[in-house]
Amino acid sequence: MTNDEILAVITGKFPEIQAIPKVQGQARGDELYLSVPAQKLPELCRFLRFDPPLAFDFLSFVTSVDWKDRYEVVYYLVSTLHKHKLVLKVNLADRATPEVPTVTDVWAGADWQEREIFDLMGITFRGHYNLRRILLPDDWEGHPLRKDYVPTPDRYD
Amino acid sequence: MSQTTTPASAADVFPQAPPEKGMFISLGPQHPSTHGVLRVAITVDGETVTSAQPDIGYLHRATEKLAEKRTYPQIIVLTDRLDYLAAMTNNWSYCLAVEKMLAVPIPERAEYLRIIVGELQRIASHCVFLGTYGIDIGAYTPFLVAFGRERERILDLFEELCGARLTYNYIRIGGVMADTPAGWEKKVREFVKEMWGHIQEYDTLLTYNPIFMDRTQNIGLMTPEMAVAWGITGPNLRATGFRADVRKDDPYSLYPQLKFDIPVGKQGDCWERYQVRVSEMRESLKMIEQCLDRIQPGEWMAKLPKVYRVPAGEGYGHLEAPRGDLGFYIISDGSPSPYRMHIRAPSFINLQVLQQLLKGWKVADVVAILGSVDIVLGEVDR
Repeated sequence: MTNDEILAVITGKFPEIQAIPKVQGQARGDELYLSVPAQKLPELCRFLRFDPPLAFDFLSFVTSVDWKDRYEVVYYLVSTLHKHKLVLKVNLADRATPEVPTVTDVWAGADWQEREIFDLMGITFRGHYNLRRILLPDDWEGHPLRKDYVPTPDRYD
Repeated sequence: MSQTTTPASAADVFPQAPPEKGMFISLGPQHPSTHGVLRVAITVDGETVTSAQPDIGYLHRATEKLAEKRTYPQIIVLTDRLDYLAAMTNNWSYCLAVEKMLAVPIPERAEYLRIIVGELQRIASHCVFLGTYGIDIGAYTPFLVAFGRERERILDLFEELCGARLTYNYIRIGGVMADTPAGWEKKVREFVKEMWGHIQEYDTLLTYNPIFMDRTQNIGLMTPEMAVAWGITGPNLRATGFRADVRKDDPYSLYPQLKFDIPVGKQGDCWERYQVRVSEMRESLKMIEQCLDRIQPGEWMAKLPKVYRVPAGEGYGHLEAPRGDLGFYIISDGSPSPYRMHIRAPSFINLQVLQQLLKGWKVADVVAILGSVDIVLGEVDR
C-alpha cells in the first residue's frame, strides 16, 4: 500500500489522527508520519497490528525525544507481510509527569525499549507490567537523556 | 510446552511472585558462558526453569548521550564500540543514516568496498559465534579453528586496510577512509577461496557432530510469530523459517545487483540458529566473489565539503548486521552535532526474548539457548 492508502484506512477508523506533513528543506524519510494523541494510542496500535490490510506486526523500535517544551515518543512500525512502514509520534506536553500508555500488550518487543525510555528519559508507560530502570542502577538520580540533566561530577571531572 | 505459543502480552512471561518451591540461581555477571557481563536471574523447580530475567546495564557507556556532544564524523568512533565484533557494519549503518539526510551519492567503488568489508565482517563475527558456542557446548577445537585461524586472517586483512583490528572507523560519511593497499583485493580473493574449504571443515568438526546435535537440536524452540512479536531480527528470526533480511526487504547499497539466498531454518531450535549462521557465511563468500569481479578503480569518497552541515530534520538508516537489523535514528536541528541519536541495537532487542525462551527448559539447556541467541553486551548496554 502507498502512504496515502495507509492514511485513508487509518483516518477511516480514526478521523482525528493526522499525518505530519514534510517541511520543505528538511530531511526526512519516505515513511508516513502520524501524530497520535496519547489516549488514542492503545486502540490505534491494536488496529494497526490486527487489521489485515495494515498488519503492522513488527515494532522496529521505540524511542523518545526531549524537545525542551515537550516530550515526544516515536514508534517505528513495519509490516513483515506488506513491507510498508509507518512512524507514530506521540506528543507529551506535560513536562512534569510525562505519561503514555504501554504497547507491550500489542508488541511484546516494546518491553525493554519502554523500560529504557523510562530509565533514560523519565517517561512513564502506564500499564507496563515491569517498569523499572534497566541500564542504570536502581538508585540513580535523574534521567540522563533529558536536555536539562546535570551530570553529577565524579573523581575524573 | 510454553515456548511454542506466542504471548498475548509480554506480561504473561513475567514472574508475578517468588516461586513457592524451587530455587533461585544467579547466572553471571561474571560467568564464561554469558559472553560478557550479563546476569540472568533464574528460578528453577527441580531441573526445570520456571522464570528467567536477564539483568543488563553493566557495560552502559551512554553512547546516545555522548553523540549529542560530538560532530557527525566524530560519532563514527563511538559506533565502533557498540557491537565490537562487527564494527564495520556499525560504521556503515550510522553513515547510511547521515548520508540519507545529506542526500549525497556514494561512488561505486566505495559501495563495493563497503559490501566486501561488511560481508568479511559478517564471516568474522559468525566465526566468533561458532567458536564460542562450541566452547559453551563443550567442543574446544572449533574455537581454535574458527576464532584463532580464519577470524585472524580477516582481522589481518582489515588491519592492512585501515590500521585497526577491532575499532576500524573505516566507513566514513560519503564513502570509505582510504583506497585498498596494493594487492589487497588479491589477498581477499585467496582468503575467500580457502574459506570455502574451512566452512566444510566446521561442518565435520561441529555442525554434524552427534554430541553437538544432541545438545542443540529440538532445544529452545521459537515460532515465527513469537519471534516477530518480540522484535527479533537476523539469523535468530530466519532460523524460525521466516524469510526476512534487510538486504532483500529494504535494500541498501548495491545489494539488489548481487545474487544471494537467504538461508532459513524450519523450527527455530538452537541447532538451526547455529546452522543458519554457517550457511550465511557461504552466502557472504558468494557476495564477496561477485564484488571482487565487478569492482573497478575509481573514487572511494564522495565530494563533500570539508565542513558540512546536516540539514535539520530526521533520518533513519538501517542494515543487516551480523546480529540483525541495526538502525540509527538521528534527529538534526542543523547544528554540527545531532540533537538526538537513537540506536536500534539488535542484540538488545533479541535478548529480551530470553524471558520467554528459557522457560520450561532444563538448567543444562540454559547455556545452549543463551549462546545460540548470540549477543554482544557492548551493543546490549550501549
